[in-house]
Amino acid sequence: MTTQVLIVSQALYLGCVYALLALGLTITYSATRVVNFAQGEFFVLGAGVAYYLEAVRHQPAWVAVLAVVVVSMVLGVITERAIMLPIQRSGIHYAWIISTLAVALILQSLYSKLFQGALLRPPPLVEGSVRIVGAGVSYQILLVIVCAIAIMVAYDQFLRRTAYGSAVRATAHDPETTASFGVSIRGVILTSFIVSGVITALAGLLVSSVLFIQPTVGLTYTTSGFVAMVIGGLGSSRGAIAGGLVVGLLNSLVVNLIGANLGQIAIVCLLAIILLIRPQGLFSQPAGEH
Amino acid sequence: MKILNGRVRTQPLSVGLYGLAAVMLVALIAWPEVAHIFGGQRDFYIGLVTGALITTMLTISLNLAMGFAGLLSFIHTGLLAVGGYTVGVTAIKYGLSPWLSILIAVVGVTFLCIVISLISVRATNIYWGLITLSFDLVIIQVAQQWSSITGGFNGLPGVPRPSLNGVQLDDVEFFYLCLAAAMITYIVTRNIVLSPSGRAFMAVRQSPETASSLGINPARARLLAFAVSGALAGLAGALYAQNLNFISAEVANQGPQLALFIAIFLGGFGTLLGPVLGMVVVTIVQNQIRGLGSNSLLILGLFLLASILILPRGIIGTWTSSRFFERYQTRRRTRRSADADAKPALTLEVLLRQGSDRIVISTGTSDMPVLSATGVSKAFGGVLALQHVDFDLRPREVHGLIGPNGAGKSTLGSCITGYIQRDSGEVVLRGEKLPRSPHAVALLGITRVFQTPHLLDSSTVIENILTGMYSRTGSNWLTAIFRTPGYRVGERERRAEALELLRSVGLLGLADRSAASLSHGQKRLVEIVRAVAMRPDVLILDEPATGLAKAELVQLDAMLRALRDAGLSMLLIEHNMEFVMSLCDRITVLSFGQVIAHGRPNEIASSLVVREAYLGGTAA
Repeated sequence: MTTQVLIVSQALYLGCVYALLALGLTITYSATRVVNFAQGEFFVLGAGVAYYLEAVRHQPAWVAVLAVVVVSMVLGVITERAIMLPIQRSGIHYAWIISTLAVALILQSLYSKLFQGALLRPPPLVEGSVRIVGAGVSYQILLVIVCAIAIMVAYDQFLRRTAYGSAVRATAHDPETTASFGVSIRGVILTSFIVSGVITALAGLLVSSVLFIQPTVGLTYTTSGFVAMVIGGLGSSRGAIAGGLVVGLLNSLVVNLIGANLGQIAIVCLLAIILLIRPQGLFSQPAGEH
Repeated sequence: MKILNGRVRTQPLSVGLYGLAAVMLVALIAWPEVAHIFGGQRDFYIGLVTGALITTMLTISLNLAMGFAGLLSFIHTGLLAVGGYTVGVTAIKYGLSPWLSILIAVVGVTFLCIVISLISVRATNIYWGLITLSFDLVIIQVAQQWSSITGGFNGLPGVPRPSLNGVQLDDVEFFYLCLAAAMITYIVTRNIVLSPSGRAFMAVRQSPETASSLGINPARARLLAFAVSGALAGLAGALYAQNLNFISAEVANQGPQLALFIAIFLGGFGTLLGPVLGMVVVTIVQNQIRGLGSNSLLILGLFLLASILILPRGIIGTWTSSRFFERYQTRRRTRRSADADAKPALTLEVLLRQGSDRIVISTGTSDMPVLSATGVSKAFGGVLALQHVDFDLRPREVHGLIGPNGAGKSTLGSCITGYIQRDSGEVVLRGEKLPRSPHAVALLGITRVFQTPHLLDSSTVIENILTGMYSRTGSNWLTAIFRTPGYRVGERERRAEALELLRSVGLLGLADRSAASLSHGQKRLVEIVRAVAMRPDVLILDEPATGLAKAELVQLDAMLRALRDAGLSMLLIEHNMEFVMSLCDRITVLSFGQVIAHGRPNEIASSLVVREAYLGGTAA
């Protein structure tokens, strides 16, 4: 019984991490049709700022949370310009690959210089663990799950309940028509970069005390989030969350039950199968060509 | 047909770039000698350029898939790894000759690419990228886990180089082998890009819809592009492993792939020389920042952002949109328009009939319909867009299809051409039932001109027309790669014929203009010429007169009359009544998906039913 509880809690919390990563990617993708390869750098940013303030500067946790939010907002604004300006100037269909990868490289090398290859592992926000059916599950893992769910629900409601949410959804559907209604597309894109940056950075902050995050792993997490996003369905925020949970669940089940090396293979195989059978993703309506 | 127009245009790129290419080639051939100036570092610099040549081959291969056929690929470094492992495993484990194992690597990677294309046949754009990315990840995982064959995480050392007269090639000889392979890669790519197949790739990249209307099967074009790209990547992979005597899965990561993207964008996306120039720059920059540690990534990233901001369209793209190139083009255009006044050597009728086995039949008894539709119905959800529509199209007639907005006119056009699958009913072309897919319908001899201009914007006018001729040659890619004499004669004739077609409708002056730079009216006329270049039996025109200026309307009218006289049957969907009434031989009126009247223009004009349909009012 103990093992099962551990597997389930691990599956859930990994799933939440992937879901937040996929959600971050989806938010910018919906507004811009750009897959942001620099998304994972926000994840590292969250971990890095938390590590610096808590472990190096010994500041309380709330300072770290506040700082992560502020810094990621600023970085969101900067990356929006660095990524979108070249795309708009170039006019070549695949220019986004270059600009997002360039930003990812720049941030990655900056992190490497700042943190000198340190393992970005701040102390957990909440110490200790709770016994669930005989197994010890740390509070931090429960906190990750709770916070992730809270963030996902909040974003979902924001999208569906507010006027700004409608503007975002309309932009995702058809930017030109939306612009003719007086919606500032530039504003929507900027907001999407800020919001997705904050969400991804918070995810990095939350899991940094559990996962092993190094300054250079940004692209790896981008790829994982990317896979989750595609499995759930490109451009759908609920799909991204569901996709993230599926990936987390599959990964921890395969790793724990079959073999530690097979987690990645299982996920990639699932991805390939889904792309072949249901290319629009598990939880998305068939959409036109993107 | 003889060459009608003395000069034959061969290349969109200018002489300057070819001069540059020649200088580069001479420098490369002399490189092992030149490298003596580096003294003790000579070997390093020879190896550096050998590596760059191999990466350039891979970049050209990626550019063929991505820049020309629009297939976003994240798997090319993975293909390099597969090629490398193939050459390594066959030579080490099975003791095959390295020459033979290069061949096996090429065939193997081609086969892998064919499989990938076949299973992702429905995917486009970003999804194609995702599928290739997931296959790339599979390649990495398999290579790392399958240690008994691939050496696992440690990679596969001891990959032998080919030998000549029993002695393994030394560094300089291997350098020349790579140079030869790189040249072959470039020439194969160039030949296929400039061939009908290459034009098909570009058509599919820009609009699969348009491509289908010209008889191009998008799935087949993608398959061919990806297979050729795979063959070239396999060759690069084999040489890569032999050059380093080693292969590991590391190379398949997205990091190395980034260098390829950079080279393509820096040089010029979808241009022939672009990836080569780009790779030269990337190699120099990489060599300069080598050994700077984490700073090197920072500099690379900043360099990338700066270059895409300064040269948003790459070196070649920026050059072709520059003043110098513009001046060069203008000179060429003036020469062409001087020719334009000359009388056409051949009449439109001859141009349309020449060598065609189809169109002759349609000049038989004039009452036998060319195309007939019976009981065509189509519903979109609860909306009955077409209800049991019957109509027929006789040879050499312009048949008007009119009706209020939403009457189902365009839907009928799409149902005939296969863009929309009809629920019931039958469409027959000269006794033959029409196939389901748009490109097959086009191949049978029915094509359409869309409601909005569907020219291939990044090609020139004459390239558009030549793309229209694709259905007549098919994909003659093998003869194109080797540029056989027969193929070259065919290409010259097609080009001359395209110019002659443009001349016969008075548009010769536009031949070298980029399609994007034309006015709306010119686009419509060129699009009709492109459709005609297919030598179809039936042409379906969807509101061609919309948005045309008075003078252009006159030109359109004259063009359609000339086409009818040349033996073409046309279905004309149109709102401009004056235009329809004066041009059409017969008219069918649709309202709410039903045929409410058909007959001669004067009968339609006086019909009460038709007036009511247009103006409303109580039904009779």
